Amino acid sequence: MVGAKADPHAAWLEAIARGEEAAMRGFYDTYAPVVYAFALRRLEQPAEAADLVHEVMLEVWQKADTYGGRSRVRTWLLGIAHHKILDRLRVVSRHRERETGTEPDSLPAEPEGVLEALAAAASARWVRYCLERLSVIHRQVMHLAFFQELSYPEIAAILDCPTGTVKTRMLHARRQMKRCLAAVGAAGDPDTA
Amino acid sequence: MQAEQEHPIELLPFFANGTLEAEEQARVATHLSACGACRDELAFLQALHAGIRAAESPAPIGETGWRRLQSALRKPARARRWLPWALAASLAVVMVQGVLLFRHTDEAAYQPAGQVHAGRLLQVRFRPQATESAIRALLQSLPAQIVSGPGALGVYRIRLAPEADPEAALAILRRRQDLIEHAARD
Repeated sequence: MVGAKADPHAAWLEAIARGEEAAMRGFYDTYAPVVYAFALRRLEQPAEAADLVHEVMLEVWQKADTYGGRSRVRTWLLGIAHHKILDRLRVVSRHRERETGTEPDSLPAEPEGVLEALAAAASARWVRYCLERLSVIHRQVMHLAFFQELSYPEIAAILDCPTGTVKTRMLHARRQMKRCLAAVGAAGDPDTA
Repeated sequence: MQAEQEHPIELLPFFANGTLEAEEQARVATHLSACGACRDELAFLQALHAGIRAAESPAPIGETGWRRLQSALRKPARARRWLPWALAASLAVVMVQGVLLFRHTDEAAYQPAGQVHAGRLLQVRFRPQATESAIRALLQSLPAQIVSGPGALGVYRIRLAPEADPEAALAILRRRQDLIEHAARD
């Protein structure tokens, strides 16, 4: 894992802990889009995701001194965001049912149509279509690995789960993505449809 | 599952995103040099990696969001401690007003907004310099009405009139970059 000493953004948090607003501005400009993208994958509503960004950034301002340097700043930040998202979902409770039963014991079979899946993966529209059909936890791990570009120990730290769980979720997620992309890829190019 | 234990299949996504530790990276690279099936899988994962980065919508985080945060940062801690109570009191007032209002509505005519406005609600954030008259003219041209907002980060929800085509309306809003910072389906 990349340590905090290698993370130049840790200096921002030190300055924020001293109450320097300019450092908070730099931090916000860099990380607000990161938190927004992460929150949107779970909360699904742009307005809710934007609200969560505000809450997370306010917590950073108030608690920057709690950053212990044991992880990258991004990992620490997304951990805060993850817990706030869970709080929000608990209150709303509309996602609770979707959280259950999404950790099947057996993996789906390796799908056919690899070439179609490969071609469809080049279409942002089809990728978005297939991501939306994943369960929340599988969409989340895809997002953390391929959009936030985090390692599996970092993802485990953010989601507060074992690294084996991250790997298993990733296996399920990529097979479901491949199955979906193979199916839509065989149907033709969405951008010319 | 036997084949999966032999192939480093669980590590391939993290090889594709370049986050493996050096030892794991080397082990997977050695395996890839001798395994066509894993190379094919890696090609798919690399395409997926690029596809997911391209598929994410740009975040509607801008100056408005920073100004809202800046305002909260400058509030004294004492004021912030009172904020939840003030919000709770405001919410109670709004709820009472809502109950009073809905007592006079025709319940039979009421339907959840999701059913009535499915596909016709959009979210927009106006540029700070956009004037009321310019916003009014733009909404009348769609046509559409503001139904809620501003919410978090200045986002408004607008409802399109039945005759408006949602795709066309969204295209119009996105072209008006002089007035609109962000527009998306709700």
